Amino acid sequence: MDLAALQQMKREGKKIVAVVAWDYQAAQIADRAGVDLVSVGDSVGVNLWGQQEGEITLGEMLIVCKAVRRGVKRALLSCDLPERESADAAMRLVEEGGADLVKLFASPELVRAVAQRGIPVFAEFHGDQGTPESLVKRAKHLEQAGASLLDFRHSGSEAGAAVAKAVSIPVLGGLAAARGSMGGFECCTPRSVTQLRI
Amino acid sequence: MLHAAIGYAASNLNSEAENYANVAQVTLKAIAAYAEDVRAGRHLKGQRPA
Repeated sequence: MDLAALQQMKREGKKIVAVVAWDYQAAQIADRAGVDLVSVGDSVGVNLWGQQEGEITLGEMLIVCKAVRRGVKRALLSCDLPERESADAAMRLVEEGGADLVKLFASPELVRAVAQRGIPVFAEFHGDQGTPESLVKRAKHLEQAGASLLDFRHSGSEAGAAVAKAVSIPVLGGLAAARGSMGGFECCTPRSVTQLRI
Repeated sequence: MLHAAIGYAASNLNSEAENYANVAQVTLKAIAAYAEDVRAGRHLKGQRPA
């Protein structure tokens, strides 16, 4: 799997399957299940380690990313960039962590800075941050800044469809995103299979 | 040892050893079913209405 294949899926109207994994075992199982993308979420800090939101460090993300990388052979691997980190840190996630792309919840400026270093960017934004029109505008800004994929959470059906139609890059949705026009994005770990969540 | 008893590791996907559970196999089936629902554009279990 590569970014070109995801782009082709978007053009053909095929849904992209993505899951979050936080460890080597879950990564192997998700890869065997045939998902297209595995995302190392910084949610590992809160959900697995009992941290406070935003507490996770780059060093901790590197450890998790390396573990998941060992288990993912076929799917693309994305890793979250912790809050307040820079384009230099994104490069470390790729070079040391083995990530194929880096996920940012940040401004188009940081997306541009990371993309200009040749790192594919998976840009996250949320549907509860504006009207459908403003969300389409934000999605276009992120695409123009160099994002390769969008993670559009809490999209709602109207904005979700509008964003997926407005940009040429694939749009994934999690946490109650619209399902009709976007790929799926779930959270998984063998320990919490009964807690699969959107 | 809990890890082995509940069949947590991916190696349990190919194991016939008796465990108290086989979390790995249950997880594989769940992710495969989720993937099928995503690709078919179906409602996902546990999802709040969009």
